[in-house]
Amino acid sequence: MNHEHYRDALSALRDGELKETERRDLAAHLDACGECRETLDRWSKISGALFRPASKITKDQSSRFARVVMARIRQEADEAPAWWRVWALDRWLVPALSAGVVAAALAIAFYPGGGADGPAWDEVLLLSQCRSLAKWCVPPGRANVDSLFAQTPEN
Amino acid sequence: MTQTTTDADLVRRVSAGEQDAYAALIERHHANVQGLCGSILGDPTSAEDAAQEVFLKAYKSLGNFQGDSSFGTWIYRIASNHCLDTVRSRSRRKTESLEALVEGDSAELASLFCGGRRDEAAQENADLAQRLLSRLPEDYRVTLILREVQGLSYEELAETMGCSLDAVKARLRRARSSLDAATRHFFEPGNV
Repeated sequence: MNHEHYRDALSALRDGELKETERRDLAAHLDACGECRETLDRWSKISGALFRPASKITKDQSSRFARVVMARIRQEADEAPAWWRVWALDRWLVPALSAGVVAAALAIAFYPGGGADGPAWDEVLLLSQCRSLAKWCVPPGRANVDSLFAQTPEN
Repeated sequence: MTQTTTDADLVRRVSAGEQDAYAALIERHHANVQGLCGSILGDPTSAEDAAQEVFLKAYKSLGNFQGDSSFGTWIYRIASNHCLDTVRSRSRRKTESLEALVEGDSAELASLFCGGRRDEAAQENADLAQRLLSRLPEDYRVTLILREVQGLSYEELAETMGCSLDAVKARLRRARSSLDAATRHFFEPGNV
């Protein structure tokens, strides 16, 4: 072992993490090396000065602490509106919205409003919000979209 | 809940919706977590507040707990990250080096290392110790605190810090060597 290696081993000795053979080898070195003995001694003094044992916490204190934390958890859960909860968004809200959009699109596409000669004015008003959508929604055989928009009633 | 109920069992029960099982986890790990927070923050009052935040964060993140480490080391990781974030947010200004601190506070450090513990100076010594430790790189500081105050083994340290055993050994050795190099003159004959 070289001297630098002994320095590595000193740290592990202090932490009780040396194997038996390593500990015996280091002990023999320490018998002969005052510098390493002094280093180990200084580390102990530094540790004693810088680190204090954690304050003793009783079981009652931990029980009280747990009650405080659980109360905060419940309070945060109660404050969140039900309809924001992720489980709702995942489980039913998104599928419901998707189904609604599909139903609305189908209704627009197959709405039978209007007579043979022209569209229902409510259909025209709805479709007038989007001419390109109207071209898609109006079934084949009906008046073409341009003529539909031309028949919008006067206000 | 019996003493033989493991942390893993309690985590499973919380995940299944049994909220009160989390209270048992808190009681088991409260002392260690608050102790770690106190060591990093250097302030007992802040330690309890920080410990509350840590357990709240852990509750919200329980879905991410895979069980590949123990609950204890997992929550230690949350606690050390939370406390380091707190320390960083407190100190935005550039801090002096370890050597500059030792030079600037030489008399106080001599009292800390050689003067014995006087009750009236206890808080000053605690503050000074905290300032000295804060000059170490964060990973070195947290590893050293977890080892010296919490008594974690090298394996537990590696799990908590998310690093190898060799990295743990290197950090401890370098942290101790840095502190030793900066403060050894306080221990020379004539100063002690």
